[in-house]
Amino acid sequence: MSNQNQLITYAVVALVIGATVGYLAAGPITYNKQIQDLQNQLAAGGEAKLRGSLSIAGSTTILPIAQECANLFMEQHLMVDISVAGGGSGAGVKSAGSGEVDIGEASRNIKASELLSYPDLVAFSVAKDSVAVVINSDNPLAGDLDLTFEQVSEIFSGEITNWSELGGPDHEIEVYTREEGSGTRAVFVDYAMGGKELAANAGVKPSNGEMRAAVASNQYGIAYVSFGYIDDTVSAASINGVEAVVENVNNGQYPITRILWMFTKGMPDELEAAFIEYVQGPEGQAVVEDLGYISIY
Amino acid sequence: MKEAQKEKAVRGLLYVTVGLSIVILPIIVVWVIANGVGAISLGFLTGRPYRFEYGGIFPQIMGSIYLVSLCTLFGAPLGIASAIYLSEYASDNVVTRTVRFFTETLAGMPSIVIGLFGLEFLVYYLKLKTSLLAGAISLSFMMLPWTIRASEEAINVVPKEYREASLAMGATKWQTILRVVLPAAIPGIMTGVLLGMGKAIGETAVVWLTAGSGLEAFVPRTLKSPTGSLPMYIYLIATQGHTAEGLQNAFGASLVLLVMFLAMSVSALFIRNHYLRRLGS
Amino acid sequence: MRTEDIISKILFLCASFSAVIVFMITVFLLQEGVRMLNPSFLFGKTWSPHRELFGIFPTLVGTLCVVAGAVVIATAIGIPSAIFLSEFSPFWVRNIIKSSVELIVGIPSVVIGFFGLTVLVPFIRDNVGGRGESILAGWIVLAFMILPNLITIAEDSLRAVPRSYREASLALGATRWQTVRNVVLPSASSGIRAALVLGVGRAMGETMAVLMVVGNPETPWIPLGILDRVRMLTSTIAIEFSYAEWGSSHQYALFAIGVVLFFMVTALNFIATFVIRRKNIQ
Repeated sequence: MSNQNQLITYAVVALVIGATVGYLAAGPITYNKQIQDLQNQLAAGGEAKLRGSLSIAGSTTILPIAQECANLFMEQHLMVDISVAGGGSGAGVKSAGSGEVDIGEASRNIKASELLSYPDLVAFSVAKDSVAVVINSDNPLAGDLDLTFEQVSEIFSGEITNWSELGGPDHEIEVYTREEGSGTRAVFVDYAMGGKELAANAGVKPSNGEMRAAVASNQYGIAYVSFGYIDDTVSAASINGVEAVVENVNNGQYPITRILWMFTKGMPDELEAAFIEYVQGPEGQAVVEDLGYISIY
Repeated sequence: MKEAQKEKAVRGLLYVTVGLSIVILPIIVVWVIANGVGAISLGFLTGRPYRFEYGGIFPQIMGSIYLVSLCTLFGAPLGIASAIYLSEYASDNVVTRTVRFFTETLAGMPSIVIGLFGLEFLVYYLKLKTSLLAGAISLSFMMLPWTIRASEEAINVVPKEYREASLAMGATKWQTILRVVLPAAIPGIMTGVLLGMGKAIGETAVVWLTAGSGLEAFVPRTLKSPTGSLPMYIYLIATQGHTAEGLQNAFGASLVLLVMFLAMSVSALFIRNHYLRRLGS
Repeated sequence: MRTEDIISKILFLCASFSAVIVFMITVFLLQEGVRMLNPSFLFGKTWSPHRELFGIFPTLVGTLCVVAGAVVIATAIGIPSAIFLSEFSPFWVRNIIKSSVELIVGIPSVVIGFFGLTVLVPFIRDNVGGRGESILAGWIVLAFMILPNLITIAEDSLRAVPRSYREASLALGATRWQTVRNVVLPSASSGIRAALVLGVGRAMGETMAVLMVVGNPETPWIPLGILDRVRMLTSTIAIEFSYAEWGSSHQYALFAIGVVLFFMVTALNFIATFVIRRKNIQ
């Protein structure tokens, strides 16, 4: 009996080990296939000049741009690994300034206090963007919500607390805000809040993605996000009668506009410079426009 | 009569609570499996993530494997050596009691505090950056006390007669430990190490601060590469993903993490039970 | 004999290593955090870094509320389950349940948080009220985390009570439940209490799962109901650490939160390992 048990045990263990080894072997084969192809290409003509790893962190507004550009850049430069993290603009400035990462990102301008702490930051503009107020697409007001900055500040400071005050259903307005380090928050407060404090009971979401996810899953939620995060799961409000679309930012009618930055500590080294140039170049700017942001040109 | 009624009532209550535990505890496992199986495909297991919530999780799986292996490489030998000292060499004095108290304290330390320390000391002060190495070392801090505790227990279970017999035959203390005590204690030690690995593979706060973003689209090539991991990936996609595919990927990644975790705890318990049965007979 | 000496020295160094790490963590935390530890930090009612206001009192109260509720829930389900498993259930039932409970001790917290976020929060929002993100959600998620461990440890200490105690009581004509209440529980109580204290410590230090479900309001307030949203000490560190500038009082305040957490958890550990277990030995 115990012999049979042992046999079964061994069979199971062998199966598990076999499957694991199989996976570990199969993974790289599939995963590396495209890399293999490119390596062959390179062996035929080009040379792998750039090598090394690059870490990028900061604004979650820029995160999609950086991630997409990094993937494209890594396909062209096989010996380069680029890690892209969020964290918010404050984290971008801090981690680039302290040398934790190679490139930081911010969706607002550097603050004076930050320049004092990290005097050797060098900034590069990579895109333009704006900030939109968004609500759930199942909200009865979705599609025709039109707010003035006055109203926006009253909603986000907790003076207007019910949707009925805006002509909507009789339900509490559930306000979400970004954390204090956020560039999107800084820009939003600058333009729209008119010196008022954000409501104390606003729920803090530490990224644009979480703002969008919160509103997309809460019928009575309201939040503000980067233009790059507007899609059909949420509905953007018009400001002063102007629809929140890229064209209206370009022609100067939509009242909020900002520049998105990347930073290096001191002058960028070869790899950092190559990546930033890539983002600023035609391929990077195509990604920028494709993702719903505005090209710097 | 009154007592009999009371007995009945109590029994009823106990049945209800145990029924509640039986229903509640597996809920999450069942939920993950039910939703996650549909997400598993070869492309998902072998692809890399793109546009935040799309694509596969191969780099995350490998990252988690690397992190845990490296963490075990640091944590296990150190933990076993500490346990040998504490149970075989140390006499019960102020020094060993202090060491033991600190070990217990480290075991209860909130993981975010260990992460903060890893960030301050390893990432900034030792300039390791957020990397495989920094993440693995920080994780090993977390795993260390569990390994020590389990190994100590396993060593203490080895009967005194074994040691005495070996010493009587002229072996030195170290030879006795190496040839007699450790082989007898190995199953218990392995159980502890495996349980520690299970803890390490599911840990999020520590890798968040020290290892990498979680969305890395590459497998780490060097010790200083930023490394993605499954828990970080799940955290990011669960909180920020908003499409059906994102949700599915979060389920898929949870299932993979759960399977890896359960594989470790199943083998740990299997070794332990097998070993206990042998000692018992 | 010389090699033996060297080996024992090396082993001693290894054993001191975790003591050294704990010592270093303490030093690092204190060095950065101690300057913020004053009454206005511990009892201040407003946490608002951009206004340079660092009062953790509402956060502290919120944390204690969530932890206390979770421990109560876990106790209410876990201790009776443990009693059932060790005293009233047939051997094979116990074996199956116990080993499945042991399997999920230490299940990755992020998975529990994911469950909380996608199942619990919408459920509470639709059926109980409020935003869903609430103390209630925190209770349930944390109870999930500490329950398996609680059942395991409590059951172990119940079973550690010698059989002869039970037999003596039963022989005197006591019922099963009288035996459990008057003989088994008192003998096992210190072990169970240690398990509870460790559960409190673990709940207090948990970061990710609660972070995902308690709501984290912009300026935390002292909660008045179970549907209120709170901030935990741990989630404040997790959300804000990434952007707190170097050398700013914000950063020191976050380290000070770390110090508070560290001391609370260490105190609980101390109680669990030394006071309760020592009593047990006597």
